[in-house]
Amino acid sequence: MSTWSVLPIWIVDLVGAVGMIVFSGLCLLLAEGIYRRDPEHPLANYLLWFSGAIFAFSLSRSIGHIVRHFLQLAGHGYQWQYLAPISGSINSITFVVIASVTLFFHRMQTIMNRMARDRQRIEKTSQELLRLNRDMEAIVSERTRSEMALRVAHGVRNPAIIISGLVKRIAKDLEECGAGQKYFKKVQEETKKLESLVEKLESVQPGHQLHFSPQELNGLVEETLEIVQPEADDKGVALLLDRASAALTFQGNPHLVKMAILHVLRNAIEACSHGDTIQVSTALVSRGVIVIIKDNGPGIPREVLEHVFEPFYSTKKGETGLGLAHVRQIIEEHLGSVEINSREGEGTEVVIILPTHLGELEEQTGHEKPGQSQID
Amino acid sequence: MTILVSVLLLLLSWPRPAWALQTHGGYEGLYVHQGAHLLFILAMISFAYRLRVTKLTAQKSWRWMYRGAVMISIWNIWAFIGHFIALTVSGSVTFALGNEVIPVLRMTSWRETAYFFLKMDHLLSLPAVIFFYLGLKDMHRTFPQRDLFRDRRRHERRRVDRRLL
Repeated sequence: MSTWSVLPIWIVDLVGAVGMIVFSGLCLLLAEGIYRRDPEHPLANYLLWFSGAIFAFSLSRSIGHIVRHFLQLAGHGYQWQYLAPISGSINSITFVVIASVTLFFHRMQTIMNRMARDRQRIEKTSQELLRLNRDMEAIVSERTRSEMALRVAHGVRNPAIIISGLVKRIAKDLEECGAGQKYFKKVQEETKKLESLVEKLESVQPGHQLHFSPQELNGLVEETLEIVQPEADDKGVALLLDRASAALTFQGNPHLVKMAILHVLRNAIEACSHGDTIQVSTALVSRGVIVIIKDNGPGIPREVLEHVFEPFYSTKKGETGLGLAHVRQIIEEHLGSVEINSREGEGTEVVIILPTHLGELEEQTGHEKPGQSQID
Repeated sequence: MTILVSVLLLLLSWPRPAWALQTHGGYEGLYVHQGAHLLFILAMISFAYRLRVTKLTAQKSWRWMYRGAVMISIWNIWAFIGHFIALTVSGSVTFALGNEVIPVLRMTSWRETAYFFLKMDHLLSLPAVIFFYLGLKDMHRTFPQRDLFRDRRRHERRRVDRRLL
């Protein structure tokens, strides 16, 4: 029968106990440092709780072990029997705390991922809004410039024509007497300059092409559907996309077209109830590229349908009623057309057609008025 | 009403032990402690599994946390067995030789050998805490990194989808 000294056990126990206190204390300090940087961050809170629990565990356990060894070395080992239950109980409690905090990790991660996704979505939407705002501002400023030029041209044209006519007559009279011809020729030249300036001002048209570039409709529709998907999910409305296999290229402003489609989709979602379906399809037709948004919601009453494109007409309390008027304005800016077909109780179909090249649809359709609403 | 009161008074005249308060003696403390160890193991294994499945271990900081969780799980199993072995080892196997301050362990069977090694559980628990420390140290350096906590699986799936498109 052999005997082994317990010295290795004592050394490992004492060094380990001190090491546990030191490193778990450092863990707590680091976690506290992380927490201080962003006290509202869920991860920072989680790490602080986790480190706090690890520190409590290490402290309670290690102090127990250290005290036990000192009592034995001092010859009071028997006293450990009174302290052991307290040390053991605290230890058990810290185990449960660590386990509870750690088991919450999964939920914590789910919350964080959800928050990250929402934040990304908000950032994306803000960027879209910013771009849209910039484009709108550019279009408005361009329009204002054009309108001012036309107004100036209109105001200056008549006096310029009259002055020109009078100067010609005076010049004829002066030819006979021969005096001051030199000066009148200069006046005539300046009058001609004035006339050509008026012509130039009158020829200024709103420059559609300035903010328009080649776009692909399928991609824009998909991006728009991605934006409204959470809203449709919340309401229990199914969004189905039947996209054309070919690329649907057209000239336009992506943000404005997306905004128009987005508005129509939001209207459809709002009108639909749980279990309804919104079918979005894209295609290439002879008149250009087409997007059809069809829902099986309650439809629009005949008396409302006649006014849906009118500005400030709204059946919803507290709304401006500019939504569909804006949609029509955007589509008209693209020289396209928007139609609404609806039957009460059966659903609504919105058809947006955009010419593949600016001016194309206008030429093909002749005097067809865009924004026409139809009742089946 | 009178009859009811009379019956109640009659019952109160012959009291019996009510066992209203349960005492907590004997092995209950050990069972609670061992139960807490099991809960600790479960939590740490699920934590390590979650870190691995969500690919968080791709980051240095979470890799250290993962190692810490695995190590502390092993320590828990080690300590769990150690508590049971300690029950089977008699208190008299540890005794002092002469005037020696440090006692010795009488090795009578495999239990004493196991007890000797299982008692040195700090060999596992200290590295586990050091791993947690290293993980937190790295997080402290990089925090607030944007996707420090993000489930990487979704991210990877999206990347693959884009490639396919």
